[in-house]
Amino acid sequence: MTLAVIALLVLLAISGTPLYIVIAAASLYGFYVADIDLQAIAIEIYRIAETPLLIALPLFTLAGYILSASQISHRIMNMMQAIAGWMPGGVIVIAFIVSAMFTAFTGASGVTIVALGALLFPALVKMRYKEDFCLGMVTTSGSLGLLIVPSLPLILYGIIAQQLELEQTFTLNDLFLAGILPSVLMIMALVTYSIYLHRDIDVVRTRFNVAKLREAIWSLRWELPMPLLLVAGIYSGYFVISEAAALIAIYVIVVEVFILKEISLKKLVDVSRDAMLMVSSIVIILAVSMALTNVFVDIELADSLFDILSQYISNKYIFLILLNIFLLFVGAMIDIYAALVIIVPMVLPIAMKFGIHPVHLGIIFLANMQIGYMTPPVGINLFISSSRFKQSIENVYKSSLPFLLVLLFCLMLITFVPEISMLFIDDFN
Amino acid sequence: MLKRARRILSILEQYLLMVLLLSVLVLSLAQIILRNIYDDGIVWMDALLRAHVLWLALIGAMMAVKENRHIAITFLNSYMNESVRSTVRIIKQSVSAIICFTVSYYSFSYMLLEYEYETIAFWKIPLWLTTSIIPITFLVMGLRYITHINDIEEGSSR
Repeated sequence: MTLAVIALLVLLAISGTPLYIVIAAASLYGFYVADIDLQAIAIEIYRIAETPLLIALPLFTLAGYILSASQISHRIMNMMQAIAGWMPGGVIVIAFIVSAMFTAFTGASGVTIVALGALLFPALVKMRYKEDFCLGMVTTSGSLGLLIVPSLPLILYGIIAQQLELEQTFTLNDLFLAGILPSVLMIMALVTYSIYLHRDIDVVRTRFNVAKLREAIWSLRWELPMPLLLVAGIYSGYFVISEAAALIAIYVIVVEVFILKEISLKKLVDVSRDAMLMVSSIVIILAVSMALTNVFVDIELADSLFDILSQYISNKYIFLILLNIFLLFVGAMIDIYAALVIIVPMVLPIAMKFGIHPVHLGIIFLANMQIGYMTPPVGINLFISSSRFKQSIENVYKSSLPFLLVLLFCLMLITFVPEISMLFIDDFN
Repeated sequence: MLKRARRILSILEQYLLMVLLLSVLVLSLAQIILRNIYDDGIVWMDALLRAHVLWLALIGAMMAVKENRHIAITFLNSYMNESVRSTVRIIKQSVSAIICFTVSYYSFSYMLLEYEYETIAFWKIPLWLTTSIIPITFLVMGLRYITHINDIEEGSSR
């Protein structure tokens, strides 16, 4: 009976039924089997109102949506050229860094490709970088930055892990610190590859111009302090993440709507509405998943899965390899937020039994999701790039493949050298 | 008549969403300022803010049904022909409606229970009131899955 229900639910899920419906149905069935009053579903959904960190989610999303709707990408583009246009390969270096930060702020919703990539791509081609390379680069940049504060998936992983009441606890700050070196590693690897690729090509360089640089930085005078304040405020512990989120959201509204006037009040309403609908679609899945997670805990799913797995998997390295393959597949198929909410409660307890630190697992998980965004055949960013730059999807596959391989190499390092993620975490030894 | 009701609901939810969001921004700012002046701010403010998030998310979820913004796995859609696709659509929207009505029914009875017990959520706000958005949202979502069965567009979400 239960097997039939599971099969039916999976069928519903892959045929496009909203995931929150499928999860709610699974939870209701779980309660029914366990002889728990179905009213429990309401109690579980209400736990959304008892999750302290959750408020950061709508606020950061709002800030990101407003930034994407402003003219900031034009201003960033000018600054990049002014700072690094004179240096061979300089624009590439700074483009990777800025794209990663842009993605961290706007969420990996493809905005980086659509807004920033759209300016970057023609500019790079004009500077005589190889067209294939440029296409691959902007596609890659769409999900680079997932591990940098205040990326929503990073925060969401922390929220979900804290809901699980694990034996080994960690703070959001641990997670933020853990994301730093893996991000640096990925950017450095991508830059190295890019410069190696263009070693014989003489790209167009602009002359360094102090006035232009000053002008470009001046046009970003309101936005530039933001990441600095955010990072300083959070890492120093002066602001908790929800307060930082509120301040950033308010700051962005004041700057873009009232000071720079790049967004009208009417547009602000539209953008806010759009942002809230996006948040809702995540939070409602999170809400019903809390019920499902409880069902999992009741039936001791993690224990039985671990018992089965440990018969075949003798050590944690084999487990990690299989986990990566599984997550890459998941990342390419399912929306990142749905994947986090559904897969983390299942995988995290098992991974911990294999001796993997929850912070390290979070970094592995998100690094996989990041790559999943650009994994053929269904990685979403490939399609976004294809339609935005009017390129055939095969062309996008081909040009982003080298970047994919570079990132896979980084993923291996991140997976098997925990120190890259855990270096700054105190209680890890 | 039905059309009019739908229109009113659309406007109402849009306003409510914006008011809640604005209120989150204002309250958060107030809380930060108070915390810096009086050390701990207003004790129940955080609970109030968290309740806001629940309401924001559920009202947004209601609106997301109408615009087909809910997260779903849609890559199989492109392999279905039109007639298969519309049959599948009817099945999944009926299932969605049934699940929504079930959740609505049980959360309504949970709400009644809390009404009887007079449980307090925070400050002087009763728990049944903050909970009430759950049965309402799921009822509206269920109704939307039925009434929009033909006009919810496919494929706008992933």
